[in-house]
Amino acid sequence: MADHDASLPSGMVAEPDIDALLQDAIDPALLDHSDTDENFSNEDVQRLTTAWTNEKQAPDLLPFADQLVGDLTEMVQNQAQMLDAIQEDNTAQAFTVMLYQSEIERIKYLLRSYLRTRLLKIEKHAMYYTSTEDYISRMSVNERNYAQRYRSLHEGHLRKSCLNKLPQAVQALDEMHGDIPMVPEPNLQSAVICRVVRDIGDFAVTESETVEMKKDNIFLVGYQAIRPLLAEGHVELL
Amino acid sequence: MTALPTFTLPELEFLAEDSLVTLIPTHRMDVLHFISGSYGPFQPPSRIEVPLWLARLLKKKRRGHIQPPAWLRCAYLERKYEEEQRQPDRFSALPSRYMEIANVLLECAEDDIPQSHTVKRMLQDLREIRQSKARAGLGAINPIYLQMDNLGVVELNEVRPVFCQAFNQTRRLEAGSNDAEATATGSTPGMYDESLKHNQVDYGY
Amino acid sequence: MNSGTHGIKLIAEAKRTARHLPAYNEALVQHVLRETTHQFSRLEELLRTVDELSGADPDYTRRIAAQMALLHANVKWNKRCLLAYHQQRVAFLKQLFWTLGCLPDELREHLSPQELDYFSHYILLINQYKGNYVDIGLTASLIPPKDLYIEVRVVQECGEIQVENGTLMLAKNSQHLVKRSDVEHLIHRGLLEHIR
Repeated sequence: MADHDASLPSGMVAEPDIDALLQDAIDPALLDHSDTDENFSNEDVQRLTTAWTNEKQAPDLLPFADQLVGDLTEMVQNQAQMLDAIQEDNTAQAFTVMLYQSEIERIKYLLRSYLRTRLLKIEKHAMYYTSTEDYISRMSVNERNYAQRYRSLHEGHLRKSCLNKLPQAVQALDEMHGDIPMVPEPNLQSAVICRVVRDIGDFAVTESETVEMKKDNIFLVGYQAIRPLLAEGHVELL
Repeated sequence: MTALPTFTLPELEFLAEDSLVTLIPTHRMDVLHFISGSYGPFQPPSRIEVPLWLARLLKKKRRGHIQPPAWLRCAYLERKYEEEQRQPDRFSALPSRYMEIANVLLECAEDDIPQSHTVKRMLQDLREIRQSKARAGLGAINPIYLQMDNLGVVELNEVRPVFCQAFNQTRRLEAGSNDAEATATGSTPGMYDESLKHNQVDYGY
Repeated sequence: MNSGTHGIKLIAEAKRTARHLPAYNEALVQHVLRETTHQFSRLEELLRTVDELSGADPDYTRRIAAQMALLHANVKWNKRCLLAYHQQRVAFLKQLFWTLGCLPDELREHLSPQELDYFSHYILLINQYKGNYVDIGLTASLIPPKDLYIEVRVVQECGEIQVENGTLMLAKNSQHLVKRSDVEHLIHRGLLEHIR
């Protein structure tokens, strides 16, 4: 963005050249995420943000962002230690410490919300996930532990509270009710909204239907259809 | 049935606060080394691009002014409104988080935004015309896909419950019988209006 | 046969549970359990007579088959009601844990012994998982952070509380500028009110 006359009285912003600004504004991508600064930047936070939003919207459990969670947790620890070492003996330092702490809070929130979104999903389908190889491999070691224990707590409760008092033949937890399995499975057919991250070209959304997917297109589509694109990072869920 | 996942407004604003905005610092400050990247040095009055959350904090502590993005100006918003009117079947291009960014800026830096009252009114007008277009789009729901280019994240989040439900329903009906499509389009719009009332996000500019 | 009506009562209670937690209805649960057991033994009795039906009147055979189908459906239906009732209640308990972090005394007597047990084990389970991520504060607020410091008003006397840099006296009706993370749990429990 063009730099304008800098010597302005504080509180006043010069009316910039509208046309030049409008030119900039035509392409929203340019404004949305312009990584144009020459400063150091770390993509991990952005990556975890995407993992979090994807996890929130995907109907089933996605692979755990192991490396990201580990790295960012460590960076948060280091940054917090660094802040402890700073002596807030003047207001300028107290101010920068406040800024750093604000970012730490943001990242901690992101990590917390990401982990809890997953716990919630794991609890909802604990029985299914703990007995499906693909999903077991999507969980972290801690999550696997959690899922197992949660499942036995939950099933134990249902047994003690009622199932054990029923005739033996009807005590099972995993039978079918007509077409509906009693072990709930995530519905992979349900609709999601996704944004295309890079040009994909023609993509088959059903056996008979293809659609051209270009960067920044937004689609409402069945989750199952775009699952491979999501795994590759070619689309993100909104 | 399970509730459809949506984002809360604070969550959407949190996400939008990662967007970069232009700050005009009024105090000198060394480079800040954040986990997500470093910003600075801050040398008044040179402009600098920083994430919105940082700009908001600096503005709050009177360490600088925020230069509103080019799209947050009356002339630009007016053009966009005209564009919306000219093209009844598509949405004009705006940053995908325009609504959240505008909201945060109007809340924390209203005095930096020229003609802020008019800007608020125009955002509201823009929002309404886009909203009614989005509603009309429900008629196009089919069990395969629906393209929704240029809708903002807040807007998508608002229509999500109804659109996704309609999508899932048409899909189920299609799987069940062949004449399902007629039934589906005949019954959904009414339901849509009803549920939209409850999903309305209050962004009173 | 009016079976199934008690199952519906269980479902109705489960539905109410979405908003608050009524006392555990032991009598109703026992009733449905007894009814189910009774229906199941009726079903078994009929099953045993099936062999004797080979030469019987087709009308009679059909009646028996219909009766068996009905009993079978009833047994399954009751089981689903029982499961739904108990699942809905523990879902409420879990939500309570995530919003309040504890079990309010007035709710304690609404729980069955198994539910009390469930709640304490669930806390253990979470604490164990949480221990892997001590720096994140897994059970802290899920409201995105906006400001590090917030202004709060004390709604209910809290006395002296521990904060990051020492202690803080929170007397009723007083107002304070505090670090959000220090008082978040108190806001959750309604003891403090977030002003701005």
